[in-house]
Amino acid sequence: MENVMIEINRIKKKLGKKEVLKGISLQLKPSVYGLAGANGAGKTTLLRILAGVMNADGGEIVMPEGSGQTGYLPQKFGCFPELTVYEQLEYFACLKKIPASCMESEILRALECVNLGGKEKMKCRKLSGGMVRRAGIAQALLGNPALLLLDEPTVGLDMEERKNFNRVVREMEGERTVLLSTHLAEDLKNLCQSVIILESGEVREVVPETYD
Amino acid sequence: MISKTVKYYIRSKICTVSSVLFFLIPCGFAVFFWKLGMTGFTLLHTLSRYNFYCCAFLAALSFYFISSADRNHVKEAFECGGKKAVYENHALLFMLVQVLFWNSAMCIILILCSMENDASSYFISWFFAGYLCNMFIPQVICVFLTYLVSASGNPGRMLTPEILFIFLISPFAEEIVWEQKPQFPIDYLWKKIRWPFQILYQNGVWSPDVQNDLQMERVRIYLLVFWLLFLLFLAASCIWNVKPVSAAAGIFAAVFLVLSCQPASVYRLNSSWDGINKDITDYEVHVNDHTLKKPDADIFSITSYQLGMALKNELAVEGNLELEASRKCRDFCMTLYHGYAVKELYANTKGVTVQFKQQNDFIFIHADTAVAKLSIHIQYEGHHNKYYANSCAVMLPGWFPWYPMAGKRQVVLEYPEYGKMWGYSPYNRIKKANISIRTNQAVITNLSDKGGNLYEGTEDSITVLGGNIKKLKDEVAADVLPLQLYAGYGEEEFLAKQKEDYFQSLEKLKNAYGVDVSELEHKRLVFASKDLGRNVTNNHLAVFDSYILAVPDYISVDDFLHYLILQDGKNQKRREQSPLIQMVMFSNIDDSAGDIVRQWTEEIRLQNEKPEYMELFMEAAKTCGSERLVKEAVQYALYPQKWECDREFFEMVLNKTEK
Ligand SMILES: Nc1ncnc2c1ncn2[C@@H]1O[C@H](COP(=O)(O)OP(=O)(O)OP(=O)(O)O)[C@@H](O)[C@H]1O
Ligand SMILES: [Mg+2]
Repeated sequence: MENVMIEINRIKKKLGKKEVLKGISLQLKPSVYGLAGANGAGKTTLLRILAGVMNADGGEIVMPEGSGQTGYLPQKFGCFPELTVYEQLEYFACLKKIPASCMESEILRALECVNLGGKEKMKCRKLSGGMVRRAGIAQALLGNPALLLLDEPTVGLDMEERKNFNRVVREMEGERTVLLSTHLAEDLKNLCQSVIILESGEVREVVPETYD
Repeated sequence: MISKTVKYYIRSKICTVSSVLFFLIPCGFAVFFWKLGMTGFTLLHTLSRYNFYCCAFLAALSFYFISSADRNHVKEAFECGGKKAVYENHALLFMLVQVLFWNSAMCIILILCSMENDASSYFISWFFAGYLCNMFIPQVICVFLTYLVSASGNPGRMLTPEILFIFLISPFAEEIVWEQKPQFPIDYLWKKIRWPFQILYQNGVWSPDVQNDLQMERVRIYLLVFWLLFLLFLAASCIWNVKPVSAAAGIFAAVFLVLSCQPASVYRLNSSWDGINKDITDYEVHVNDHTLKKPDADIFSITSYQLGMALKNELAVEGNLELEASRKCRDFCMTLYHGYAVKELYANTKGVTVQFKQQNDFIFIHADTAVAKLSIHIQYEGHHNKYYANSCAVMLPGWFPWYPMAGKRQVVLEYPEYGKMWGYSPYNRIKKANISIRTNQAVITNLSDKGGNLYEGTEDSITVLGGNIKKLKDEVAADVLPLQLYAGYGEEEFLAKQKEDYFQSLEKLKNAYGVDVSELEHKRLVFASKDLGRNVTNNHLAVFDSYILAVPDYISVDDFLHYLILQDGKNQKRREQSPLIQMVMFSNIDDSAGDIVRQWTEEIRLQNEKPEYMELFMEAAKTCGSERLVKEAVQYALYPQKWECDREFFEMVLNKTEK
């Protein structure tokens, strides 16, 4: 259990009257995890809590000290239409406290990863839906976070981009903990080393690496 | 990081254009008014009046800007890692910085305007608190509230309460009043609901009172503090998650809200039945006839007043009165305006116990044994909605029963001469008494200043004034209202003009109209703001034994004449019935006699008087000349009992001339 990177203990969350998460416990190692489950199963809620944009009602999340930052792509992601792609990423980079000296190279690298190289001067209002999604992935990648939380990253990506995304994720295998939610069996198969299946707020099954 | 937020703001056309407009339009208007010659006070008042529109505009702009991370779905990604409302916090900060700049610019314009157009530097040393409460803080409240709405996680839904808030603070909500008392006290309910939302200057029906202020009463300040704390509480508990701050802010907010709801003297007259018309509504209920009657104070008089006056949220008075009757009696009736509630009243005289009953404007005292002399201790507090008295300003004219007056007095009068117009009675006096009052702050009174806020004298009234009013070291004028002075009309010009008005009016009354002015001569002039009167012509001036209480620039032949004519309550019916006296009352007696007669001729034509009336009038005018006719008419208005009717008066004029 040495390389346990993140430990989730009995996380609970109630939204309105509904108990969305009913005590989720998980141990995540540096690996790529797929998060699957029906609509409304609680995937987004779990990712939100892990990303720190929402507080859990109970339970705890333990991350080893100095485990670095978290990259997060929300299910709904957009940009300020008035900014350019570069400026928008710069904004994120500032928030992540990426030092000014390597900011530019870091942003360009992240854009390169999602095939948006050369589009940095484009106004966000002119981006297509898939491009916005990729910009979202790029912002999550900024600063090489140790934990990457991606909520349905492949939605809206064309075949080519999906392949590219697969490549990017593969490159991270073993180095980082990636938790991505998806509805696509193809993603689970191609990308994930393990699959966590949520059902009405509970972990139904964790399918280990042997899944194939 | 904030620089990125600013960058986004600048990139957004809507935001930048709005900002430019927000700076240019109000500042442009302010500069325009400054150059038109407005005084600092009038400009600040104008800005305060229109601050609602600035607040509403700021709220809209802030909403657009602060909620844009949410609207564009950037918020969640921004907040990754627990940086809650990080964008909104920065956006709020930037909006507040803009508000600060805007207000600094306005303050500079105000200062420059005052330096150029005011006659003194009074405004500059005074305006800042008024500016904060009427301009800056309401804007901060609106921006802060918008921040809370935008950062709530559901700005769309929270926009409804914000719009409601904007409506409730607006002049549109202020204008919802009931001119007739409704059956169900819905007006009372509405008043209670709206009170916490009176964060902006309340326009009311009149221009501001230069003596009072821009509504800086303590309760209003408590209200502003309440909002700041309440919003801090909401932010700390819902957004920033700082429990100690939220708890402290919450508790203090509640305390300040409670404090702001205390009874207080706030000068906000509107057209509601219990606003400007409250007294007449009250009197219509209690009395049928309120034309001037002689007070029935002959049985006893109050020979000594030893009063302590506390000017806090409202007026609180405590002290001793010496009552003296011509014969032993048990019952004494005094007048005290019904807005002041008597809390305590007992006899200091040994062996006498008294009971009292406060009913309408009267206090009925019943002693268990008949006495000729009675010393009582009295304590009362309350307020009148026009004659304000609080820690900021005081306007208590000596003729208004804010202190106990012996006998039954009328507070409100009806003036049949003006066609049933009503007003406060400026004719209440007390029998000369030894008066000593001690106040909790310096005031201006008709009594002599003994230092340490102690005022003493033997007088026929107690007038107490305070606020933006300055004592003068002058033999004739006691004080000046510094906010009223403007370039070219400084203290010296003010003094010169008032004295000239005073002396010339007396001279004209005496020489041109043959009026006996001995009662008006050699008095000190005590000035109060125009809000002393304003409802009926003769409230602008009242002649007391040692002083004249007057509104600056209202010391005129007309005002004196009206004051003299109307103090005679016995012949009101006669005057009401005489077309000529009506014309005297409504014309400007200070005009030349020729003009006045021309006006009257026109008036008679318009009033469709009988042809004989016109003939008589024309003949009188022709035979004895305009000057004499006007002079005689003035005498007729003063002593109408001398003639049966206008015809008899005209005939007398003609006969006299022929002789
Ligand atoms: N703000 C909210 N208030 C009340 N209920 C909510 C709220 N947000 C989500 N829910 C409910 O919580 C449950 C879990 O939602 P969540 O978004 O986590 O599901 P999900 O697994 O991500 O679904 P999907 O596959 O559709 O993205 C759903 O039943 C949803 O209706
Ligand atoms: Mg989801």
